[in-house]
Amino acid sequence: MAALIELDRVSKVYPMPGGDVHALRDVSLSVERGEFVSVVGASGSGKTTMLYLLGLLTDPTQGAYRLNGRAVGRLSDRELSAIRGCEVGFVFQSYHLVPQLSVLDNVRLAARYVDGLNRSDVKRRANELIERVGLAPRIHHRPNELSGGEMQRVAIARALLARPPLILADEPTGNLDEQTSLQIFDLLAGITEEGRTVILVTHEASLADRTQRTIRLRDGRVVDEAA
Amino acid sequence: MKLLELSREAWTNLLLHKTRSSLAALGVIFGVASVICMLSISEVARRDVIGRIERLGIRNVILDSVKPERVRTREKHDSDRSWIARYGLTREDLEVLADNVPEIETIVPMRIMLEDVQANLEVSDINVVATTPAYTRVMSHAVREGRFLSEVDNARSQPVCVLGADAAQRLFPLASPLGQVVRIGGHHFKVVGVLERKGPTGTAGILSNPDNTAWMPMNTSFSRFGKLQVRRRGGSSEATEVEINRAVVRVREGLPLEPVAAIARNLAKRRHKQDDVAVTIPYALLKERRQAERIFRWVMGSLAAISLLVGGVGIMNIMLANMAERRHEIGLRRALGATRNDILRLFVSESTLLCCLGGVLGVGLGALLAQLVGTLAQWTVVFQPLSFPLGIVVSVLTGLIFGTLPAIKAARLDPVLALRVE
Ligand SMILES: Nc1ncnc2c1ncn2[C@@H]1O[C@H](COP(=O)(O)OP(=O)(O)O)[C@@H](O)[C@H]1O
Ligand SMILES: [Mg+2]
Repeated sequence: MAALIELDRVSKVYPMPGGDVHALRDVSLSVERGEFVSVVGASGSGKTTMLYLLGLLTDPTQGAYRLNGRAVGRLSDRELSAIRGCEVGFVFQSYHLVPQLSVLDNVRLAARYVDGLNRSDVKRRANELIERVGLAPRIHHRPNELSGGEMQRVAIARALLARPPLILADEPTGNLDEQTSLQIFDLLAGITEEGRTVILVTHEASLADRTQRTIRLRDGRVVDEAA
Repeated sequence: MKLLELSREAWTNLLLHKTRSSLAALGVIFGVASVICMLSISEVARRDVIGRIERLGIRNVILDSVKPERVRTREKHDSDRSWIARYGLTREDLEVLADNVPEIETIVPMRIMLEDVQANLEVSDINVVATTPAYTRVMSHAVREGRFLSEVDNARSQPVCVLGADAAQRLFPLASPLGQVVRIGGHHFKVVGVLERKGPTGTAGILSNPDNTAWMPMNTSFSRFGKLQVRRRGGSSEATEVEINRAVVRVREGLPLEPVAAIARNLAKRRHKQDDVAVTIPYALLKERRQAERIFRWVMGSLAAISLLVGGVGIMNIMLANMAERRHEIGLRRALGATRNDILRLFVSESTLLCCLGGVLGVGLGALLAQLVGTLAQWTVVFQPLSFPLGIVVSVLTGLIFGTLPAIKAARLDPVLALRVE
């Protein structure tokens, strides 16, 4: 079976009035199912761009990307969106919860754009996931009634709802204290044990050290890979 | 159903921003309300005025005796009146006119009698007007029971009368008036006929209410009551000598009315020392009125369009602000699998639902306002039934049109930028 993620000499250029910005240059990469990979690098080195590219939120300027054995370069917005909905779960540094929705509804929102899901199944799974991240008592609370760590746990539950094989987390602990960061990290590590792939962008060397593999970016290039 | 789900989601999202949503809807509500209100009120004004003019007959020229300025000022200063007010059209005027203008088919004179009508000793405030047998034909006023005044009645000055529909109802509420006797100014008159209801004609005065009138032959009026009419009021009395109050001139089929009116005007000027005859052409009035109305409708239509435009721009503004505020949510939804079309639909459905609700409320408010104005101004309000669904359809279209631009912007937003936190 092919690797879950295969990047082949991928570049991403943002054409800007002040000159092109090369966010990624010639990145080649392969990630297997069930791997726990961290991505590190200075601010502006292209980590977020790489993650969004892997999550099909943006497309490469050059190079080829195969996700789950399928070349995604020529797919339509509709097909890309469908893949994002079923096969990718995002976790963001600033959580991106909808402030007006309850914890339960925020988690269930991940099923809104996925076809063929049964309403009651979705509800059951949402409840299970909320329980698993330890937020069962807060299920009807609004995001602004939660702490940062709790909000990030809601976001992780949301990312898992559609059972995607790939979880992309962009500095999920960037806004959290050390102890909470560890809790979130452990949650993500637990996910890989069920065979899901987690790619974690982080600033914290201590966290990166605890992943199976670390990819270091500098100026959009992969400079060092430590296993 | 997809649409149902979409509107449920839109409804939830609107509820999440209650204040903003209701503010946005206000423009549409007032826009539609003013349209409904204006439409139904202009319809009222239209039906009333046009009906009155039409009932004067569109092939007729109307000559009215009007109190000249001299008589008016004298009335004002001389409250103890011991003089005779003498003015207006005479029978001779009408004969001269009929003899000299071949375009004229018939002239129907009308003379207001300052007398009371009594039946069974009860006095009523029914008007008395003398006229000739051609009245029913020229004024298109049909007979319901019995017959109208005949040539013989007129030639022999018979004491007979015909009652308008309201007059008949008031004098003889229980039995048929036919063959009954009424007293007009002390004389006995036999009722020979009752007319159909016609509705008000012209603008004002006794002659505008043909249904509340008792009609007698012209010659009878002169032979029984004379040329001079005296009305006693309180201690004083007023003497008036007006032979003919109104002459309805029927012009032959297919001939223009304006020349006949001009001849009548000239004749009055030549034969009268004072300015005491007014000539009107109902058809011209009607045309003028219709023209004015067309302009009115255009103005109304433009006002309506402008108010809806304002409402639409309000919606657009709010949706743009909405979109900017929900930038992260848009990015998030895209990350969760929403297509560009999903985002488009999300925002368009919100603005459309908002405008639809605004339209429904606006129609209700407009109907209420129109009813209120109608009650205050004592008009009967006539709603154009089509205006209700039209109001709602137009607001939905407003929502669609003005909601689309912000929705397209939202859909085109690059998810990477949408998710960025500064
Ligand atoms: N949408 C964009 N338009 C233009 N330039 C961008 C955009 N997104 C990122 N960049 C630029 O690309 C480079 C990499 O950015 P990013 O991937 O966000 O880095 P990191 O996440 O490692 O901080 C930076 O120089 C950034 O300014
Ligand atoms: Mg970043």
